[in-house]
Amino acid sequence: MHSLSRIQKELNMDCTFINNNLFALAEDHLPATERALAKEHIAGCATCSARVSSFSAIMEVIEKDRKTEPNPFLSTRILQKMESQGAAANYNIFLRIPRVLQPALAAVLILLAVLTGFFAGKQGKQLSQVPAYERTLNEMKAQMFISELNDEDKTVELYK
Amino acid sequence: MTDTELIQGILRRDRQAYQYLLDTYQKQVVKTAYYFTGNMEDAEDLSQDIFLEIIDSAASFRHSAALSTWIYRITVNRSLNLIKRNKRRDIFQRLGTVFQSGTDGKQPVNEPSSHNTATEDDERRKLLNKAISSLPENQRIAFVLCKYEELPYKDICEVMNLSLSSVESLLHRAKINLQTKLCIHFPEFKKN
Repeated sequence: MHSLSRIQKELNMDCTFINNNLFALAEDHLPATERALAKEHIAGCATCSARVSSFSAIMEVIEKDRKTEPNPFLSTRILQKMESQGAAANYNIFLRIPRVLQPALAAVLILLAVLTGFFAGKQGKQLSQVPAYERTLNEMKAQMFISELNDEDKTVELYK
Repeated sequence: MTDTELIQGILRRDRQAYQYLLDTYQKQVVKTAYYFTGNMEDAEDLSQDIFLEIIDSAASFRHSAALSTWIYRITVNRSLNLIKRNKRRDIFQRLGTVFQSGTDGKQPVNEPSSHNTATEDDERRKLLNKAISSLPENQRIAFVLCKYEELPYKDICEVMNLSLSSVESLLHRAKINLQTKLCIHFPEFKKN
């Protein structure tokens, strides 16, 4: 008795049932008894009929999209790209290194570049300082030499 | 050509292997990308990147799953990444519009037109794509692979790395969510 009422309750076809089973109706996945009852209800209910037909129309879009074909010339374009990438990988040593190691290698290279820049800058600073110092020293030496020469000339003149 | 032979050919950078890869999987890749992005141009551009990634990471292919499953995974990931990028771009564009014109940047909602079938289909496609893209990521993947790609549940499980019951549950929830989301746009769907 209890199970009979449960079945009757389950098969109680109304708009809520249709609303909750739009996918099952569109895909025809309902059990035969429920499907027959649902069809009967839809035939007599304008709102449900509109709902089901709108939903089926939307689901038909999936069917139409499934038939869409890609551009037939696309494969030629992709093949060219693949070949050029393959050729580049053959020449590019970096690309031949396993992918896992590539970030590590990139980090090492960046670090090397930074250190090189740092030391080059330091060296440059030293180089730019040394000539200035030497120049001043040389200038001083030259002036002293000239003044010594001048003094010698004056001495020579005195003894003339 | 078996999966192993194909992968070895790709690693040797053999043109015939490339050609075979394209002949066998190009349709699958472009179509899957199209189902996710809803735009054929985006899908075609994306397919190019996907094939470059395939030949680039062929060495990392583990033979635990079929090659097609691995390609599906790459395609799904790449497509979802593109969708995320496009969403971010749209947000910035909308923000730009808001700052420039002082409007809220929202696009007017197009109601389904009844003038001709092509327009109606386009509107339906827009609504469906919008509804699908608003699904949680896992539900979206399961739905697209099942409804558009018509993949068997077993293959969906492999692509998504999930159990059968999880995939079934995802699909069930995806359908319920889609019904609810589509109800918003069509007055006749609204519950009494």
